[in-house]
Amino acid sequence: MKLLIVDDSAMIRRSINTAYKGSLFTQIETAADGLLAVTIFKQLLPDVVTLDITMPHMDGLAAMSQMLEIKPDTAILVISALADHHTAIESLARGAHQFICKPFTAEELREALDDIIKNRVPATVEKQDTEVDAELKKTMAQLTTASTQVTQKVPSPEEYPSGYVQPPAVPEAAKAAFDAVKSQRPLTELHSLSPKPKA
Amino acid sequence: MSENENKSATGIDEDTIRFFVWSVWNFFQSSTGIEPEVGTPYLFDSFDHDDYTGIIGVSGNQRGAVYFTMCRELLDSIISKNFPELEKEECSEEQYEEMRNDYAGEMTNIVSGNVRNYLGEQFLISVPVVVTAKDTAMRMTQSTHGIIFPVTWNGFRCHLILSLENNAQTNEHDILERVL
Repeated sequence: MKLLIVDDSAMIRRSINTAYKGSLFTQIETAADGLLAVTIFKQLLPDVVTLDITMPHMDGLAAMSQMLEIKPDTAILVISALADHHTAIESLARGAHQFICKPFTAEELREALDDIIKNRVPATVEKQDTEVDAELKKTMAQLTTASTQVTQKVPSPEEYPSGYVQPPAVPEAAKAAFDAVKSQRPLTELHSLSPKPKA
Repeated sequence: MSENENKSATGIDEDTIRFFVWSVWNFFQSSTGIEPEVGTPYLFDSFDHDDYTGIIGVSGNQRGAVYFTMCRELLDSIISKNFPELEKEECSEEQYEEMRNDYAGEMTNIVSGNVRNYLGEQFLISVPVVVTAKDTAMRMTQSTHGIIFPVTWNGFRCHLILSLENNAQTNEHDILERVL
């Protein structure tokens, strides 16, 4: 994983860098203002960013918007001296994953970063989920069409040819399974309807 | 009429003073683990810069500046406490000087930013500027007195100075002046 540390204070950059040097981050880069941060971000494409708000040239919130447009699955930890609720809420609303106030201890920093790393869901996984959902809906639609066609082709008992032996009734579990598929109920419910294996 | 006679009493209320006292205390306690002693704040007309002074411009619902002036020994002590590894590194005096400037600015930024928890998001602060102008007079930009907070941390003295006035009051004052 790659980390980008953005803060106009060299001492803050240093303290974060020192805490995470040689850890799970394979590459750590730093930037002293928002403008430089966006430039480095485009090249580095980091997984995690620690971001100050009050900085020269471009503030942290503007930089964050640009970063998330480039790479939406970036986990962002805002670290700011601005301790009011409005700033914290606005940061989170704009896409930050965590917000901590300066001055912070090493433990507070570690807890916040560990939390966002643990809960991070990469955009690629979200995209895959969306694709699977779309594929599932398409298959369901095909299945419904096919089952309707089959039902229409089944002759009534009067039309049975002579000597025809009626097949056994469809088990209730199978009917329920078919209904479940039609109504797109979760697969877990289908499992519960399946006949239990004999001991 | 002297310059001091033209100045009005400060428009800073008691709560704002309390928030700043808390903010200074919180900074030293959280970042060094050593509690500071914040002395009784008092009004002043003139004050001299110490070795390093961090300055934050304030706008929004208040107008003016926050100054945090401190000696070099205090900064060296905080830096070595937070970054003990620096003793092993071979840092030049120039690099140390950059760190002192940086830390003085960051201290002022944190102390000013933290009071927004109480004063709200309309207490707007600038990025810090640091001046090294020991023994030169500090000039207040406002027409009010400054409030000075004497602070002792780990045996070192430093001073936080507020020169603020309520922006609404300023506007009323300006309007009255124009009318009269």
